[in-house]
Amino acid sequence: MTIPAEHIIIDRILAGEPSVYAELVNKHKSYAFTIANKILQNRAEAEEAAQDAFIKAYHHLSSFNREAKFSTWLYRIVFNTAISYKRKSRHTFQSIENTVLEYAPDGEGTLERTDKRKYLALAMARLNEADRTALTLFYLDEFSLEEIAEITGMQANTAKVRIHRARLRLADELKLILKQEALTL
Amino acid sequence: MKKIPQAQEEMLFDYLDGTLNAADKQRLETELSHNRELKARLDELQNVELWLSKISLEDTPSRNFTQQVMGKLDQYPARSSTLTSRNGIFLLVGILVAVGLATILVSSGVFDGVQTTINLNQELPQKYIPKSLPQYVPKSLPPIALSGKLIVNIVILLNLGLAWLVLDRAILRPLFQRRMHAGH
Repeated sequence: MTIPAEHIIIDRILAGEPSVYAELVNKHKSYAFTIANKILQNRAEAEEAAQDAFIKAYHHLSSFNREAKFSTWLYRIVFNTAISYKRKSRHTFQSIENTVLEYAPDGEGTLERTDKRKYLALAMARLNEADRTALTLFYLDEFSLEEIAEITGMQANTAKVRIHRARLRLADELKLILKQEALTL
Repeated sequence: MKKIPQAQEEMLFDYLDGTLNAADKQRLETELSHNRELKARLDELQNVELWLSKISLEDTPSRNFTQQVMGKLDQYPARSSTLTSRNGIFLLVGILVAVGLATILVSSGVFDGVQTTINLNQELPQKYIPKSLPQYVPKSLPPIALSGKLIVNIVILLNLGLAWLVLDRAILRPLFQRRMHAGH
C-alpha cells in the first residue's frame, strides 16, 4: 500500500519542518475558502475563517488519525470554524430573506452563463448554511456522501436527505427569483 | 400542481443521481410514462441539476493567503478562540474598578465590624445516632472566626491575579507577537 503524499508532508511537518505546510495550504485553500464563503457569504470573513481553520489544523496535525482523507478532516475544521464565525457575526449578518430580487432577461429572454451563476448564487444564499455547504460539496463532485456527512458532522443518510431537500428548496427559490417559466430556459 | 409524495420525490433524486436499482428504475419509468405531474417534477429537477452543475470553485482566496497562514502559524490559539484586545481592556478596566472600590471600602473600615463564626459542632439529632453506640460522646471542634475584612482582602488579591492574567493574554502577548512579526 502506498503512503499518500499528504501523509509524507504531515510527517515532515511533525518532524520539525513547518515550512512544508505551505504545500498543503496551497492545495486546499480554494476548497477551504469556498466552504467558508458558502457559510459566511462574506469574502473577508470567509478568508479569515479559512485562515484560522488552517492554523487550527496545523496545531492539531498530530491528532489527525489518517483513517480518513486529510481533506475531509481539514474541511470539517473549516466547516466548524466558519459556523462559529457565523454565530458570532449573526447580529451583524444582513439577511437577504426580504431582498427583492428581480429577474431581468435580455432581449431574447435567455440567460447568459454568468447570469445563471449570479441567480444560482442568489438562490443559494437563501438556503441555510448547512444546505449550501452540502449542495456545494455534492456538486463539486469531489466527495462521497459519507465524506460530505463527515465534513458537515451528519450521518450519511441525513446528509443525503439534506441534499435532496436542499435541491427542492433551491428549485423553489430559483422559481421565485426567475418566475416560473424562466427555470426551464 | 398536485403535491408529490416525499418518497417519490426522493426516488426522483436517486433516479437523477443514477443510484436507483434496476427494478425501482423500471417501476419509476413506467410511473413517469402516465403520471404527468411526476414527469413535470422530474423535468423541473433536471433543470435544477443543470443549474447546479454550474457550481465551481470560483471562490478563490486572496493571493497572499498562504503567506498569511504561514505568518500566523505561531499565533495559536487563533483569533476566534482568544480574548480580543478590546474585550480584554474592558474586562481589565472592570476588574480594576472593582478592586479600587473594594480597597477604598476596606481602608475606610466598612468591613471592620463584619464578623462571623462557623460552628463545626452541629449536634446530630438523636434518631441519627445508632443505638449500637450508646456511649457516643461528640468531640468538640473549635469554631472558625471569619472577618469581613479578611474575606474582601482575599477577593481583592484574587482579582489582582485575574487582572494580571487578562493583561498578559489580551494585551501584552499579542503586542509582543506583533512586534516580533514586524521585526521579521
